[in-house]
Amino acid sequence: MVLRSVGSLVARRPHVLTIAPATVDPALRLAVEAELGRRRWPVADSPADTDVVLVLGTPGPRLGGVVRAVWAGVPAPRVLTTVPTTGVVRSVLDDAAAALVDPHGRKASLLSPDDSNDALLPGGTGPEAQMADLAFYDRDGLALDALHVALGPVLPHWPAGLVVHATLAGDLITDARAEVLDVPASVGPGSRGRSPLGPDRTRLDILTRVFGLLGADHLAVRARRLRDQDPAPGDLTAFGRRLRRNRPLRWAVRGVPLVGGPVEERTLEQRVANLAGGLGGSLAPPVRPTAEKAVGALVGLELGAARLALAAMDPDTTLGAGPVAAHTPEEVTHQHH
Amino acid sequence: MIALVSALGAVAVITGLLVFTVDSMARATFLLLASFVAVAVVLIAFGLGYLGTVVILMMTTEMMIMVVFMVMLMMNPAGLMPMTMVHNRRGSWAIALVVFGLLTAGVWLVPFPTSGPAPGPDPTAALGDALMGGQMLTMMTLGLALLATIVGTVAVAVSRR
Amino acid sequence: MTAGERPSTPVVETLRLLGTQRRRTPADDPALARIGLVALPVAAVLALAVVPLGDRAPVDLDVGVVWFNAMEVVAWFAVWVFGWGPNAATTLAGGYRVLPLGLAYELPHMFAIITPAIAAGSLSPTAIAAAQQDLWYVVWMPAAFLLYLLSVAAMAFWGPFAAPLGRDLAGGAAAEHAGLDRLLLLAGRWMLLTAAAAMAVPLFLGGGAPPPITGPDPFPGLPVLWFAVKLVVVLGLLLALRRAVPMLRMARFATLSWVVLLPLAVAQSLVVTLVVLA
Repeated sequence: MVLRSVGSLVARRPHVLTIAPATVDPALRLAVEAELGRRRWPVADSPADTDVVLVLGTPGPRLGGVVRAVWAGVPAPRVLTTVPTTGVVRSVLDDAAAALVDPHGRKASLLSPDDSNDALLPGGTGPEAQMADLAFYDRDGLALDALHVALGPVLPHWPAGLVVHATLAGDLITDARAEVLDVPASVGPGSRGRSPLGPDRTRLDILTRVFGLLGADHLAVRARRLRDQDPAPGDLTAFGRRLRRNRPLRWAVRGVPLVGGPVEERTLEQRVANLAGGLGGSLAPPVRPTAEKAVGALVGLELGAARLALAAMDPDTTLGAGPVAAHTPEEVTHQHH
Repeated sequence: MIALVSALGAVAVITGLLVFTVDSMARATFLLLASFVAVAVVLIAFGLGYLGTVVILMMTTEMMIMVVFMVMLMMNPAGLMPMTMVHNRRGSWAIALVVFGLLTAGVWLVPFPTSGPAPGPDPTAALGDALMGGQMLTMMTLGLALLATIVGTVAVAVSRR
Repeated sequence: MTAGERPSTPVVETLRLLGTQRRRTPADDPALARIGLVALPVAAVLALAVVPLGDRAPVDLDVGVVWFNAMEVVAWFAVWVFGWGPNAATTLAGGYRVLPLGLAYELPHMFAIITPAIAAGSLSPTAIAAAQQDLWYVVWMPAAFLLYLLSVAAMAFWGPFAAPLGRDLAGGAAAEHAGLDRLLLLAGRWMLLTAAAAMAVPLFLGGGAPPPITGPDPFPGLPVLWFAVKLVVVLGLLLALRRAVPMLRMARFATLSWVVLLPLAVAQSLVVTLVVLA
């Protein structure tokens, strides 16, 4: 009885991990984020911090494998469920909360995952094992150790379906290639990288992610609410002005170059300033580069700076990228001095 | 008191030996730190509170700075690649035995003062006076010059970008 | 933690973590990770032990300020080692971030805590608090107090300095820890923040003494109450800091610390030293 009441208390505030394929309907993603915000359910940082795994839309085979790997890393009590369409968001979340309290009374909308208790779980947040070996190239021309790691596709505020195959030296990205799971690179020019959300909602969507990564939660919540409601242009320009005047914010995003011209701005600071300054105006929507160009711009950045840069560039993963051959380590012969 | 100090001494020696038997740099760092902390607690037990506390502070910081280089030079999370902490076994043995012999001989040969003056009420101040009493101005100037050099170097390195 | 917290949130989160499975990752180093997870709250308690809560400290150490400093450095070790343990890139990079953070805030912090010690001529927090009978140190060493507040937030890797547990690394050093392990980690961090905020009271705010008010003392003979009131004020300042400044990347903070904060700290302690000598 006591356990049950504790469970129901916890189920009022479960941590939710959302997994979306690149091809997810943006309206569905926004509807889920809005509903989670309305319920004040926190977004989980990692599988270890998760109570409810929400799979949006229909994942392809590669992402399906990722979902299984992530699910194996979620500690019990846990619930895995899918949100196929916008109309069922509320009922799915209600059922998930109920299932957290009473794991045996599963509703039809929940998946029936294998509940075997895996003592050993896959490490990291990517689909591949991590492996260290000697770097081929280092910034300072030294043959140092490097770590090959797949970043994504399940990370907070991360582009849907994107995996970055990165080589790390310390916390510095020395090589990075993009792959969008289940969406190979499209032939031809593709779309112009325009978001179906319209200029202002695209800007607010990007800003929500950047502020979320920066831990500026009150700004992120404000940006998300403006995105999900139908704000007056005056509110938008006022918010944009407030952001441009926010000195700590400007200072926190300073000093990150966007090399290689994926977007028209040359620095992260400029990109954020333009996103904020364009709010409520009649400017063209922000450019959203392909995943390849955006990920190419991450080489040479520290991991945290790279995350901010990627969120601010907001690559259009529906255009696809990859596939990238997984890193195969050579015979590990290692000596250290 | 003697039991406590002997136990801590044993901990310091054993963790110090274990440093060379583990196969991960993180464990070696931890054991080395444990060895230092045991010595520091011995100092505190002897009534040298300042010295013991500073040993904990300095040694932990030192280990952490070692970790900076450890991660910078070898991006190798736990357990992926076991490695040996021992190199040049024969030379190490020779050096270790010679140093041990010298120190042991020193223990017996050096005439230790049997009964000095009674310790003052504030050993921390006495220690400071003994270390820097005559050279206080030199030490202060040196310290400030060193600090200014560090800050200046960082400032130059930062503005080079 | 995300926005939309209620007063009940800490209780709910604690119960949630108590009821969650712990987990392990492949090829991990569980022993080392657990040592780190336990060391964090232990270091916080040992740091708090020398802080006079009111007019007396639980352990009245004559070198309390240095002891406090040593325990906070043990917290660096704890974060690094529980980030290393799970054998994952995100936790490793998160634990690694505590080192540039620590190396950036530590020197201004040392100057900030040594400045009141210079003025009082003692390393004992109780003696430092007692030396502020006439004038609180916050009044005539405001820069040291400000630097102390900043470094306290950095010490507990909290607010603008939360990069070691950053959301950009999926929770950083905490990313792979669940259940009781995660509870130890988060509780240890709050304890560290509280311990550090508590030390500000004897160092800068006159300890358990009432503020220099004219008129009767509302809590006569209850230094613990005055201590608690001042502690709440310091924690409130730290909360305001988190709201005002987003998370800083370590390169940004290191630059700020070495180029602005450290010279400021040296200048402040120089001024105080000259006043004491004069």
